[in-house]
Amino acid sequence: MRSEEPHIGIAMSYNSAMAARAVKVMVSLPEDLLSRIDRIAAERHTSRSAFLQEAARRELGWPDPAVIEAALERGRTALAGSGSFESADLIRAEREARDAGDRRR
Amino acid sequence: MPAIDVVSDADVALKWFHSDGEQEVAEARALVDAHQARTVALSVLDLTFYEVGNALLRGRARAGAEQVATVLEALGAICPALRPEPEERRLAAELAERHDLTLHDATYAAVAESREAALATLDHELLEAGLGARPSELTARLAKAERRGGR
Repeated sequence: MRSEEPHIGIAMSYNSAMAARAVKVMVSLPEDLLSRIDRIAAERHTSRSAFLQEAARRELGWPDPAVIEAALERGRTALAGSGSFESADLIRAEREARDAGDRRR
Repeated sequence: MPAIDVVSDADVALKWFHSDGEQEVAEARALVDAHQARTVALSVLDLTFYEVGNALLRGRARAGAEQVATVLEALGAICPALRPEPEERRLAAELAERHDLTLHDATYAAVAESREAALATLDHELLEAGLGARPSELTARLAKAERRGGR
């Protein structure tokens, strides 16, 4: 940790299936990073704690590279015989069909 | 830490699994490579699964249910699927009105904008509205960020 970083207390909480209790922790963050966190949290109408919980879950839950590789292989094998097409055209056609359906309602 | 956060449109996500006849396959897949290396934080939307599934089932691909289920399961294993927050739905409505987009299309842009992420897309409507970037643009941006970081 850099010595010039201000020590700012942040209350975080977590919920578990066993016991839903909030635990306060002290962490140190650079002021500019904290300002960004607070700005984005305010824009999303959420709290600093909720924002940091979401960020932590996202980081901790990042898929393992081997899991990603295996998933890519499964998906590519499944579509191996599906022929030639441009995905952007396929998705755009689907969006236009859906939009036309919505307009008819 | 990731250099950039990227929300992937359904058309780019489909290229992770399909290559025959596709443009920008290498660039679309480079985003997944960067996600594996954690230099890009890649995500899709919850509605991406419906769009990819519908396109495969009803489009030219004529994929069967088993193929579609496998692709959707694989997609879910690769990156998180974001559920738009109420404020992001509001922003999507504003973007849809301003750029004459469907709410579905605008939702991708709204979630990306709200989360300070780039939207990777090859959809001409989103690109023409200036709300997304082609995978090739993003990989170039990533390479530039990595060069800066390597100095």
